Amino acid sequence: MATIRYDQVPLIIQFGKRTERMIARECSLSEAADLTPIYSIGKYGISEQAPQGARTASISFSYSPVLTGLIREDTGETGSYNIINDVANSLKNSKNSQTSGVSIRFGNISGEGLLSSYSLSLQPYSPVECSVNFELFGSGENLPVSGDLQAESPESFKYINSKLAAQYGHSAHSAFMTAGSPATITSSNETGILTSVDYSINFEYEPVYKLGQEFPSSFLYHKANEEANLSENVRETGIAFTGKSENFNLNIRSLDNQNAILVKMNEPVLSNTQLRVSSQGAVETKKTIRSFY
Amino acid sequence: MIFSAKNVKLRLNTVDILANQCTLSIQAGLDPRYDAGSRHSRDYFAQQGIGSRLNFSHYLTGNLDDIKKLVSTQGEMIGNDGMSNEGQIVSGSFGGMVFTSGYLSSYSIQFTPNSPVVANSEVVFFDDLTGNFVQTEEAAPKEEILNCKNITFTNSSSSEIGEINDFITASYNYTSEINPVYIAGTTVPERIYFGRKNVSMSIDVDNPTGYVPYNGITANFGFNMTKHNSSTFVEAFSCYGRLQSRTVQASVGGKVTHQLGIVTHNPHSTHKVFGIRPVERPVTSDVVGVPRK
Repeated sequence: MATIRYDQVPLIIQFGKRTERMIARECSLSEAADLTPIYSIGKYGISEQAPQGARTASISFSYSPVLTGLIREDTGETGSYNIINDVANSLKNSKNSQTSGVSIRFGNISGEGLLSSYSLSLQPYSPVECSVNFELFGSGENLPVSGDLQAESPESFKYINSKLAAQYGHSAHSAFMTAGSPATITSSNETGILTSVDYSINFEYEPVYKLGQEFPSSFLYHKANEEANLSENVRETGIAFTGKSENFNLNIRSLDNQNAILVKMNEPVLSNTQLRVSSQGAVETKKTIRSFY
Repeated sequence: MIFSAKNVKLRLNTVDILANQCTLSIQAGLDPRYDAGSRHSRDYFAQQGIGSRLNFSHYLTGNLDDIKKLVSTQGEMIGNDGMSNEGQIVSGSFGGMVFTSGYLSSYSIQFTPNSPVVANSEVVFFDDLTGNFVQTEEAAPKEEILNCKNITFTNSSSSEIGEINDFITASYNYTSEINPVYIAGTTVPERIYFGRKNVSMSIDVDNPTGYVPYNGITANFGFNMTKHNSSTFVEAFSCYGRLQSRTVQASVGGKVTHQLGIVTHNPHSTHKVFGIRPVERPVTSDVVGVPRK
């Protein structure tokens, strides 16, 4: 196999009828077989390495979210991107126990993945940086991933759109760093000015395996936990024994101010705060808020 | 001197057992002897003979598990005289210590998706161990361990049991009462008599219901096992009895489980009729109770 360059392995995800070509900076695919050595008393060495669980795979990548782009190549139709944020938002509030995955294709290798973690980081004057991890379990007789690694012709950014820069989720243009900005946190009727946000959400699933079949017959979604670490310029007056309920809506706009990434934490509770200063620096306060679903 | 587990061989009925653990326990039945008016004992007396147990877990390889054969043959009338009810006696050695008259008292297997099949057995014996502990040096045989991925279920139960699509986990348990008969003046049993035998199966299935009639439901489950990439059955377990319980259970962060409990007290092999052998008709003699010559 010839060496394949990064621009020849597009990363494309599909969910329902939506397709999104990711502006990914790095991507890694891992596969694992669950094997255990069979030792027995009275014998040295092993009889074999026997399977004790199903094969699994995971794919993780980091990317800059683009909010709109070409969703149908044949008709040139554009539409809403940012599938992963939408999946995370809908899944965490889902009342259904059964769940289905997101189709992922990476250099002609494809599989169906369950979103297990999603995080985004927001710094002043910077595009949003997201990282995600998908777990791929396969289903029924289907392997977690299939297909061979093949180089594809490098794509141009026409698949995203012609105004790519304007469609990035970005901190600067959305008045993020001013009081009353779309990203707000309230405390004692005071709105702090956020200087950075590290947000993450993790999902717990249970693949249901049955006897006589390697891969799961179904998947159950159990719960999610969500956490945001915020840096701001105010300090709250102490932390409550029972935690302190906060409101937190993160609304990160694109540079053209037309679209937004919306993250709404449901009744998060303040779990810790930190006040810190060092020489030649400004006072910095941090807090962590958490929600559970 | 301390020995390594890889130097301690377990052998039953001339067959090397691929065991991953083994425990040999020897228990004397001593009671303290109290004199009248005394709260302290100065001596002990034997209340029963030596009772020894050999517990071990071994991998199933599909080569006709000799231990499992005892489930259907032990204690059954298999002798040529049509009267013997001792079945096959288990002899064995553990690390060079030998017993010659053991009996299988329990045998169980837990079937978990994609896991190697491990049976847990208990052999009881009442004779004295002979031989000394010796270490051996043998290489592990190259064996393929049976795996729960390669298992197929048959369900010939009454329709009352309801629709079952998925078998999640299962367990197979056999127990037999083994009772020694001592005669006066001996410390080793003169013979063994077998008490009740039963096989129970517990099967986790989908479609939870609460229907259990007062007289149970006729249930007949069997599972057959093959080796990897083969369709030839190399091991089979069955339980034809009555569904006696259902257990529906849920805990936070888990799936709802529905467990069927099936019990049979008739776990011997199906009778095979090879023909009819005529016997001479007895002729009444002149003397009551004495046949005429």
